[in-house]
Amino acid sequence: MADSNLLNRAARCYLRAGERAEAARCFTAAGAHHPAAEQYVQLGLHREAADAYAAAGTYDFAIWQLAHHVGDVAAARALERFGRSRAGGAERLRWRLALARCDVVDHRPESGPLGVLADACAYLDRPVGYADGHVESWAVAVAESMGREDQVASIYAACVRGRIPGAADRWAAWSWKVLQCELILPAAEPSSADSPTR
Amino acid sequence: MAFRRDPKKTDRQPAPPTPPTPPAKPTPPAAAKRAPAGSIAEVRADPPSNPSPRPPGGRTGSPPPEPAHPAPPPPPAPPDRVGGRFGTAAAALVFAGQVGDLGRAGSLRFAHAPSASAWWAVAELSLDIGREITAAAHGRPYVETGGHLVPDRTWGPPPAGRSAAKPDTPPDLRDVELLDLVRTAGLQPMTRRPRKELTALLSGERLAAVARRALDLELDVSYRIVSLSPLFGPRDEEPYDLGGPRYEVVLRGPLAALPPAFVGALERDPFTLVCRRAGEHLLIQHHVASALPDRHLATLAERAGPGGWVLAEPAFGCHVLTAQDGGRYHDGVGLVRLSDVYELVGPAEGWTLTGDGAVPQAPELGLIRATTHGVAVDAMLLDDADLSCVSDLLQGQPLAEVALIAPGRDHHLVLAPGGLLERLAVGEPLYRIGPGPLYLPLGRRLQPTLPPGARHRLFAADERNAIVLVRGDHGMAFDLTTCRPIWTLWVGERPRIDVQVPADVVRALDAADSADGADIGEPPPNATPGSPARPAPPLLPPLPPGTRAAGSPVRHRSPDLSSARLPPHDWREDAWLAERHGDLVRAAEVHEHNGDYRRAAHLYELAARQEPGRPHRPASSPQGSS
Repeated sequence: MADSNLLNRAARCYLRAGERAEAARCFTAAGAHHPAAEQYVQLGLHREAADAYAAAGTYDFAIWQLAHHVGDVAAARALERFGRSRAGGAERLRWRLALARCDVVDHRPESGPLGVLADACAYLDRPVGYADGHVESWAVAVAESMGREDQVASIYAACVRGRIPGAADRWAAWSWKVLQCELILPAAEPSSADSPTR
Repeated sequence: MAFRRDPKKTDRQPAPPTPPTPPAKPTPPAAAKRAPAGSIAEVRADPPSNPSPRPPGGRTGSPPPEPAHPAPPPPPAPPDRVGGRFGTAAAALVFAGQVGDLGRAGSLRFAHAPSASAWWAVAELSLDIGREITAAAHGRPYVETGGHLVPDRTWGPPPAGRSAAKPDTPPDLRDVELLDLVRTAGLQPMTRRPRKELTALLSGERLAAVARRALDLELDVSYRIVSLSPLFGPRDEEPYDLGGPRYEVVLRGPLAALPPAFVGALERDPFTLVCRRAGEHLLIQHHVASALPDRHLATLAERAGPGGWVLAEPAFGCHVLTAQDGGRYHDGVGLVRLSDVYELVGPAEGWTLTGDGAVPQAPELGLIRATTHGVAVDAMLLDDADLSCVSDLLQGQPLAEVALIAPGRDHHLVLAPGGLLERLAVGEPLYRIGPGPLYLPLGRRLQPTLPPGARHRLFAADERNAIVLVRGDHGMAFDLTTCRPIWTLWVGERPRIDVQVPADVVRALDAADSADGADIGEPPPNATPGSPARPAPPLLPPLPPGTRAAGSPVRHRSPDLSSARLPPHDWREDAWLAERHGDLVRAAEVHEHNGDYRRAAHLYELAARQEPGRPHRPASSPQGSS
């Protein structure tokens, strides 16, 4: 087993030299699978990224990479048995969204993914603390793969209501890209803290 | 199935018009059938078999007596043959194939009329079966009755009476053979099915490579040399001639079907023909088929002669295959190229299994081929010829700033602090396995594998000596203390630099010289101030002839490149010294601090993997346990 500290330093130097593939290789050798997976994602090597995510124990990310980017639902569902029961929150939502993406690829009934999207909207509407950015992006991706622009709009609307930073801009960009129309949102209601004092 | 082939009946030219037969001497119907012996064209040209010869000139004698009651018409005679008219040769072949399956192939006759673009095929069948087979092959039913080809009504009794007396055939109808139909119909694509055996026809230069790859895939390979000659006669558009000697390579999967990727790669080779064996004497291109079933084609090929047939698309053409080596196949294992180190030897001396305490003889240390994909180039080994090219390759390149050369007698080592990390177009690329500056050629590794401690004790690579193993029993040592920048290879004459010393200083120096001249010795004649300096000795160690221009006289006050092989106070010198002393982490930190992140990363990686007892590289390691 090589010195993981030195390999991590090597990986960081490779990153500063702009060599992501070498950096990912060194991160993997050092046992830092999550940063290795991030580099593989940046390189577009999604199957390698899924392997690294699985090695890191983040099977929801591995399933998402396989189902959404690679399209290998069989391999994604093979990782389903490694999923642990999660109490709730963003982690459980990511897990359900990844499996919902598999359902969409398998042309299963829409009721399952729609239920997951409804729960995602509820989470994004009132996030606890800092909202998980993957929940928003994955929910939008699932709705787009279903061809349900109404669901995409619902998700973005929940994000705007939940005051997630940048959600309105992302909604406007999506609207311009997909619907070729400009998005005009009503002015946000001033909160009590922002109201002028007399 | 036996298709009759009578060359005398094959007439590729349109049948000449038959002169009208004098009505005074009608040909008997029986004779009309016997003469052509089944030739449709000849039968068609015969007059109608309705002879009721009457002498010319009208009545002769008394008319025959009228019957008292008209007798019922006799039932029509069954047709001689049943078949159809087909728009394409392929449709006629489909009909022929089904007739062959019924065991009536011997009665098949074929005809063709170029003006009508139609083909006729008839056989001795029952009327109902003939109609069904013809309809299935998209043909129009015809019957041969009384020597004529007449259209059938497709229902009821066969045509008789006046309809049977009117042949419906074009004037240029001529007999053709089954092979003509096969040639005209061509080959059509078919589904690629997994096959446990295929035959490839290829040239000798591809034989060994294909056989080795097939053996790698654990396939059975046998081959023989054959010759190919055209199967059909020349036509206007002559296909590409694959004729001449070729190798017939039989590939068999002993347990399962042949790997589709391997078969696909063979099919993509434009000079290799992949065939399936359809019979003992018939090879058909892998992914195509004739409209005539393979079994009937195989019978046709078997009866054609001793040679086999090869049916392929026009890119290859159809050929007659003749074995040249007595038809014997050779085993493809003989095509595996072995080096000369696998000679047969007797039992090893000192090796015993009797338990008498003898120690097995250790295998000789050597270098074997190994996968080193992804391993960075740390150094290059050049010979004198390569050295003459280096200046042209590296002038103006960033590598010239950092690369060093350790000159040797007839070989030279090019390296750089932190590794070259680039591969020159000349020389042998090396990688560092350590510990210390111990290098191996890329694509090689030690056999048997040695731990780092053993490598250190065996080769003693240290901060002064770099060791390059080029073979198992041969290595080279380079003195790292003689390293100098590689740009010194193309340094020409140095410009003359006249040191402008102030006049008072010169006078003071002259005074000092005159006072101490006896102790120091006589000054050189050209050492007077203001005159050109005496020629300095060459400052660079001699290089092989032709690698650089001859050194010119240089003033002794110029910087001495031989003593300062790296620019003074250069951070690379610190990194190089640390690397030579084995402190790779320190060297990496120096590179990282100075912004050379790539070499810093390489050194960190080397340091991480050269810890004693730890593997060198994880996945692509050429020295797994080192």
